[in-house]
Amino acid sequence: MQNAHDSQASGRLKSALRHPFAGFVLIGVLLIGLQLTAILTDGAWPKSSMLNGFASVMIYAIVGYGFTFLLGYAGLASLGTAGFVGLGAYITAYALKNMPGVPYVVVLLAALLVSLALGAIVGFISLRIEGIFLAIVTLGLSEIFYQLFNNWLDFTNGPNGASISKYPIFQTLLGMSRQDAQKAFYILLVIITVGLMMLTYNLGKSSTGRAMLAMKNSSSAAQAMGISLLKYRLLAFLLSTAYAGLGGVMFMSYLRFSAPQNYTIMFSLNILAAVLIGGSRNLIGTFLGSFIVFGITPIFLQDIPFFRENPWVINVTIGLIIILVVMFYPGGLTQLVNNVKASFKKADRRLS
Amino acid sequence: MGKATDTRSFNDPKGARLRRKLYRQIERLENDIRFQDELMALERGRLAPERLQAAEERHKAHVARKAEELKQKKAALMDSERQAQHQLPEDVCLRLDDLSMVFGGLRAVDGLSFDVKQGEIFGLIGPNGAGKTTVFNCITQFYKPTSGNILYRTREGNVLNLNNYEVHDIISKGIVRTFQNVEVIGELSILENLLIAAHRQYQASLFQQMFNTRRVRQEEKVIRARAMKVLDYCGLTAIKDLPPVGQPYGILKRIELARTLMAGANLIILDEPAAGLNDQETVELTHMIRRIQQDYQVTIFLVEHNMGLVMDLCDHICAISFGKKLAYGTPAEIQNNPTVQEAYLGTNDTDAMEAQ
Repeated sequence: MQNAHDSQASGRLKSALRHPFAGFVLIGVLLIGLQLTAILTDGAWPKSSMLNGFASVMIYAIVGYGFTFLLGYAGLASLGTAGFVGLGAYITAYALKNMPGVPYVVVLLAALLVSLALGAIVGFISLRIEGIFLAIVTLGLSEIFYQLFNNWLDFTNGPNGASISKYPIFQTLLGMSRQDAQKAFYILLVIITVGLMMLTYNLGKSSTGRAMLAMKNSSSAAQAMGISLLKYRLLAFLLSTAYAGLGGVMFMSYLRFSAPQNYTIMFSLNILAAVLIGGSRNLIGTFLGSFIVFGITPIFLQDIPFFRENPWVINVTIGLIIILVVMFYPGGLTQLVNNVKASFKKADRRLS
Repeated sequence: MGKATDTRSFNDPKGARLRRKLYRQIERLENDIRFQDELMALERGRLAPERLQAAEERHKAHVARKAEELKQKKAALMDSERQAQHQLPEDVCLRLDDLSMVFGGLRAVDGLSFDVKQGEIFGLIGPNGAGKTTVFNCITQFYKPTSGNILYRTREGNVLNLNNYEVHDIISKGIVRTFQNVEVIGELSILENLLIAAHRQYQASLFQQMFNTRRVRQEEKVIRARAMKVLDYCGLTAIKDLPPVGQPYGILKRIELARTLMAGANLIILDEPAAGLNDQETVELTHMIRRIQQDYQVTIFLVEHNMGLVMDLCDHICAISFGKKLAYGTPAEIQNNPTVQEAYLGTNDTDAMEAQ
């Protein structure tokens, strides 16, 4: 009797683990667990620099999820991501500093709307261009954004960078201390990251995701099947700019500082690399990809004296990882994991 | 082909814009009614009797409301179509009327006219480069014809000029095509390839899809059930979860045919269905095309180089060369037509010499 009950429970656990969201929730639990450990050990481990590292990984992962639609589903390559992230960040900074009465949610929505409006313009332009030419156009766009951030002093404070003094919501509205507000915002960030993973996953599995994939694989078949290229290309662009804008808002809100050199072409390329390493359509892969590209340095390597003294080694290492992944696992980490799984299964079969 | 947009503004003298809008609304209403019906059929086997009763009543009321709306829209459409005065005899499904397509200096299609009858299998033949695929691309609006009309009778009996519609709207009029070099979606499974063909049948909004609401899950269930039926009909059930990549050509062709059925086609346009198939596969395909035509009551319009297949299947054939019509008739008439023989085989030199 007891046994039957046990097996039923384990069966339920198994099916829960097989649920596509299990991995997302696991990542969220681990990330929150780090923060809780820090609270319990009174900041001895993990250090706050490490937690900040994880927070920025989450922010970049959010941007990466948006990029997934563009690259993984619609098959469009854009190098303009940085500009939209910067836009979100600077709008947040400007609004929080100069319009203190405006609620944070309104600021967030405004940043999203401006990103969407600009994304729509770029999207319309992109409808006429494809492949490498689109990459070049968006590259030019990102340069325009960079110059704007550098020179529009009233809005961005130029090269000195913009900053906000308090964490929004928790410090301004709830009156928490700075340390507490930072911890609370970290947890909010985890919730947003995991929530977006779920939404992105749902959309990717839906008819919208399939329509974009069809468009990427064969634009003529897609059209013949009633898929409007105009609609879905635009949608891919809008989704990616919305995620980028949100990433920018989070960047400003959590790290509380941003300067134009954060938003160079390097940033866009790093996002591209993170998504590629992850496997272009796999969300956990994208998270791991942004961890490799953006997280390893601040989280682990900075504490090792050798790397602190020779920062170039880090870049070379990350470069090597990217080359190796692209050469041997063009499907990204997802492919690696699948291969390992397959070989385990094979070994299992041989044993039994 | 494959250009992202065709922003050409439509020449809109007789309310074509209104009709496009009405067609879209009708499509949505019909999709919804069909969805609700099939959902109810699925629920019947599942729900407890007392809940079923309430669900049935809700369903009946919903469908009745939608049907009323649909009736009004259809009446408005009929009205508008009558004003447009596109005339087509009762038994004609598709009429090409003086169709021309010019690329720069090349007249790929040159004043071509012919009728495809309702429910027949119609073949378009011609030597390489005769403009056969261009004709297809004009019908499906991948190319906007330089001049001429393409009139089409929908399943409901409305006559419309396809030139007024965009390429991605053609499928919702019941015209589905396949491609010469098989365009399947390699990154999706075979089942999902069929779901792509049902793209217009999905109605949930973007936000509903993001939050995977009940509506989305129900829609997915109903449309997957539809796809399973089609897969079963085409004998693809066993391999439904595999990617199409690496499947033999015969299977890929069958996937494309399955897609046309999934989309609820009224007129199926096949671009060289037997290209790349071996003899055995060609025979199977011939049977399948005939079976589809009879079971689904569709009109089939095909381009093919395999003369055995064309002569065997088709009720009428049109032969073209350099974009111009050479001959039209039954397979026997076409086989014995001297102009067609000349276009395919060249002039008979001995005849020419004897004439001298």
